[in-house]
Amino acid sequence: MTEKETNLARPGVQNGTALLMEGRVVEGSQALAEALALSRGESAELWNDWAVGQLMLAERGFRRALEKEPTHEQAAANLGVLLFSIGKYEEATGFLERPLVGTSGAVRGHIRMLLGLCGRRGKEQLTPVDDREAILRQVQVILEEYFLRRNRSDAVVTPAGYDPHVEAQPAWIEETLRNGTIHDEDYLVFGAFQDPDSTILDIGAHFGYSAASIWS
Amino acid sequence: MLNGYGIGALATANASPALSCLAQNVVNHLEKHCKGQAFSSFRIHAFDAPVARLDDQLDAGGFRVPTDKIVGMKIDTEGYEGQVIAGCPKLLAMQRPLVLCEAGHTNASVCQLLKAGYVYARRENRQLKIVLGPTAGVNGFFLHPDRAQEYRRIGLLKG
Repeated sequence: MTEKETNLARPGVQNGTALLMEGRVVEGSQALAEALALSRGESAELWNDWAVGQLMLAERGFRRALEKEPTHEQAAANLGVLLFSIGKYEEATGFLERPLVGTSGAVRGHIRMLLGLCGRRGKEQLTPVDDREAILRQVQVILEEYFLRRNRSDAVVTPAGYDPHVEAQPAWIEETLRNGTIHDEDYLVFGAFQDPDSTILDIGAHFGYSAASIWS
Repeated sequence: MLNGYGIGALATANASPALSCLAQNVVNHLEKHCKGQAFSSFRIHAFDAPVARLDDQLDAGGFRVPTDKIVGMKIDTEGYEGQVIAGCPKLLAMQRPLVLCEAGHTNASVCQLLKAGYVYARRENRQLKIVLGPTAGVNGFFLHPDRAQEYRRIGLLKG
């Protein structure tokens, strides 16, 4: 890229960047794209600025999608990943948590990893599972905030429009059955009922552990 | 929500739950079911749960399993076990299923089962034994004497 081309592109870059900073994402992205064209696509800096503009456009698009459909899990996941990538860990956590239950396999693993990293990079909140007392204190504080002080802030409750799909997860039950996990040995007495036409009602628990225990 | 997971089994329908017990349950859950995970987040998710009487639900149909031979009921409704029992007198009278209540024998609200002819039972390994008084376990078993012979035949009842 010649100095002349750089000088031609520079106003467009400055204009585009300024527009992005003002939140005028569409115009800013357009200005950067034009500057990129003037530079004939040979400036790494311009490509970088253009890509940042695309990220901002994407963020806007994902937020728009969630305004229209708050339970859109893919949009929530994508926005969470994007926010994570630009260092907005606390906000990313809220979006990454939404699709977690509805996903599986590698995608789920990736989201869980990002959630863990959000905690660590955000406020050093990640607590080792063996530090039982520390976890208990944190959980107790949130419970007290909710039930005693009526705190309904994001630090205490899930985001508005959040639908966690708390019904039993088939994959979890299958794993429990495979491992022969018994949640509570009292459930085992139901195993005496072997008539295939009979029914056992499981009223209340919707996590699936009791059914899994009975049939393990 | 624990580390982004819905831990529905730890839901409470009580506006003033025992917070220390609830906190213990959450940590137990993390240790038992989230092996290898650190603790990253815990949030409360409030939701409205539709409530209906069990007898009405059974009368209305729509179950994906047969409901004409209900042999057992496990009730774990976070302190509202007695309300479940109060909502199914017809089921208890007609089918007399074995009942396990998480509230245990000492919870007065579930002991209305005794008025329906049920008796206390306790577990011994994979079997039950009829006992005269309440046991101190977390779960309470209640069985109807009319079913005793059948329970003995299938190896469920001792003595």
